[in-house]
Amino acid sequence: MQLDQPDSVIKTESLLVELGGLPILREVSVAVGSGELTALMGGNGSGKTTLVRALLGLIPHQRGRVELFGTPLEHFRDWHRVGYVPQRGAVVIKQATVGEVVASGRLARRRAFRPLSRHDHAQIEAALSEVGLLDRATSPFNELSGGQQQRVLIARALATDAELLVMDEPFAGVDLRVQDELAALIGRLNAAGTTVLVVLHETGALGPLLTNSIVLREGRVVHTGAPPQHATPHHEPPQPGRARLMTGIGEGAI
Amino acid sequence: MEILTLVFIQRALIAAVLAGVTSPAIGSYIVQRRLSLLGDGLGHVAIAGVGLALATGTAPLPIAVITAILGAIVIELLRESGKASADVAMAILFYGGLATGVLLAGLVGQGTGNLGNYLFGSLLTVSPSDLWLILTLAILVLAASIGLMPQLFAVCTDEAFAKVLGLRVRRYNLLIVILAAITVTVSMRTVGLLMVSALMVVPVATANNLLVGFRKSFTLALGLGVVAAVGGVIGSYYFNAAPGSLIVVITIIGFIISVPLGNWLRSRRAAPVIDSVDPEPLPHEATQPHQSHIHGPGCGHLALTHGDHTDYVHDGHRHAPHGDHYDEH
Repeated sequence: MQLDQPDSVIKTESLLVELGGLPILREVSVAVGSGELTALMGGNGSGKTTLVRALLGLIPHQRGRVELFGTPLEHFRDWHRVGYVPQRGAVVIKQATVGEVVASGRLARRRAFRPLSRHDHAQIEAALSEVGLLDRATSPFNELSGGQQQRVLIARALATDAELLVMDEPFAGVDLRVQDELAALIGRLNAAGTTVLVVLHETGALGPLLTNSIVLREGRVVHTGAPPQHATPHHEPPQPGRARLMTGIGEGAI
Repeated sequence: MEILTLVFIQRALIAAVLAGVTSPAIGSYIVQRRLSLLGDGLGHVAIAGVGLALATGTAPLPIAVITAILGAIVIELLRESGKASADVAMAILFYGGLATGVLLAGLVGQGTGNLGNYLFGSLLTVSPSDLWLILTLAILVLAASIGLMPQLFAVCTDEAFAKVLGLRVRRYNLLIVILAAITVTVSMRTVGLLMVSALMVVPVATANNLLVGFRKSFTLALGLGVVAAVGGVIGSYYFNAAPGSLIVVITIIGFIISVPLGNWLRSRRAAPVIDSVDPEPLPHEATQPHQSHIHGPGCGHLALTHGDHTDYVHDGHRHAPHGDHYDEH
C-alpha cells in the first residue's frame, strides 16, 4: 500500500462510481507511486476499465476523491503529464497517417491556431522512434497490424511528455510474440522513469516486470501490493500455460 | 464561355466555389466521426427556416442560418445524452423541419415551386446581399476547420483521448455541428438543402480512396468539391436542370472512378505489413519460373513488407525475390 506516500501519482479514497444507478466501484482506495509499474487486474466486469475512466475524469464519480499528481481531479490541469492509451479496439481512425495520429498527442501542449513547432516535431519523432516506428510515420494507421497500432497509440501518449502512462488492456487481440515486444517496450519506458498503470486480464509477459498490483473483484479492491503469481485473481491452482492460451486468441490483423 | 459574362451566373459561380470548399472541409470531420448523415438532418431543419422566411416575406438565408444552428445544438445535446430515444427524437426533428417548411411555404401560396429553389439549388436566386453573407460564413467555416484542424481531428478520431489531453471536447463537438449547420446554409443556394449532405460526404470519401493521411485527403476533398460545384452550376445552365442534382451526380461519378483508381494506388504502395520474421527461417522453396515478369515497386502486384524484405502476391502465392529467382513465402 502506498496510501501515505507523498509522491503518489494516482490516489483514490473511498471512490464510489455508479453507472445507470448500479454501483460499479465501491470504496476503492488505491495509490500508484511515482516510478511504479502497476497492474490493475480482475476478471470481466470487475470494474478495471471503469476505474481507469474514473481516474482520468472520463466518467464522474459519485463519492470519494481522486488525486492526480497530488492535485484533486477537479482542479487538475497538467494533462500533458498523463498519457492515456485506450483499448485499441475502441479507436477507429479511418484516414490518418501514423505521424498524424502521434501528432495529436502534442495537443496537450499546443495552443489553438498555431502550427506545430520544431519542438513538437522533435517530440513526435522521439515518441515514434521510442516505439520503433519512425520509418512508418507516413503509413496509413488503419493498414498496420494490431501490434503496430498499439505501439502507435503508445507513441501518441508518449508525445505529450507523459510522466504517467495509463494503458487499458494493451495485450487485447495481439499474439504472444507481439505481447512480448510490447511488454519489453513498457518495461523500458518504466525503467526510464515513466510511471505506468496498466489494465491487464492476465499478467502474461509483463509479470516479471511489475512492481505493484491492484486486483479488483466485483468493484472492490481485493488485493494490493506484490503482483499475484497466477493469472486470475480467483483461488485456483496455478495453471501453467493457461494465460498464453487465453490471450493468444483474436489476433487476425495483418 | 459567353455565360461567364452573365451577372447572375457570376454570382452563382462564386457561391458554388464557396459551397465546394466549405462542404468537404466540415465533411472531413463528420465522416471521420461517422456522422455522415448529420448534414442531411441539418438540411431538413433549415427548410423550416426557409419556409418561415417565405411565409413572412423576409430574406431566407439569415433565418435559415439561425434555424439550422438551433437545430444543430439540439442534435448535439440529444446525441450527447446517449439515450436510445435520442435517435427517434432526431428523426422527429428532421421530418418536423421538412414538414414545417413545406407547410409554411404552402400557407402563403408560395407552394413548393419557390421552395424548390432552396431544396435543389438554383442559379437565379443568389442576390448580392446573399453573396456577402455566404462569403462571411464560408470564411468563418474555413478558418475554423483549417485553423483548428489538429484539435478537431483529435476530437473526431478519439474522444476519450482528446479529453485526457485536456481538450474541451464538448465545446469542440458543439463547434463541429454548428459549423456543419452554417455550411448547410452556405451551400443551400448551390446544391440545395436536400442534397447538401452529398457535397459534404462524397468528395471526402473519394479523397479517402485516393490519398493517405488526413491533411492530404482534406485538401483533395476541397478541390474535388469545387470542381463538382462549379461543374454542376455551369452544366445546369446548359441542361436547364437544378444545379444540385448535377453537382451530386458529378461527385458520385468521381467516387465511382476513385474506387478502381484507389485500389490500383494501394497496390503500388507497399502497404500491408507482416511484421513478423519467424525465428526459424522459412524452408527454401523456389517458385515456378516467372514469365518475363520482374516484381518491383508498382509492378501491379500487391506488395507486403515481410520483415526485412518485400513479398509480392502472385496468383495466391507470396513471392519473395531471392537472387535470380523468387521464393515461396
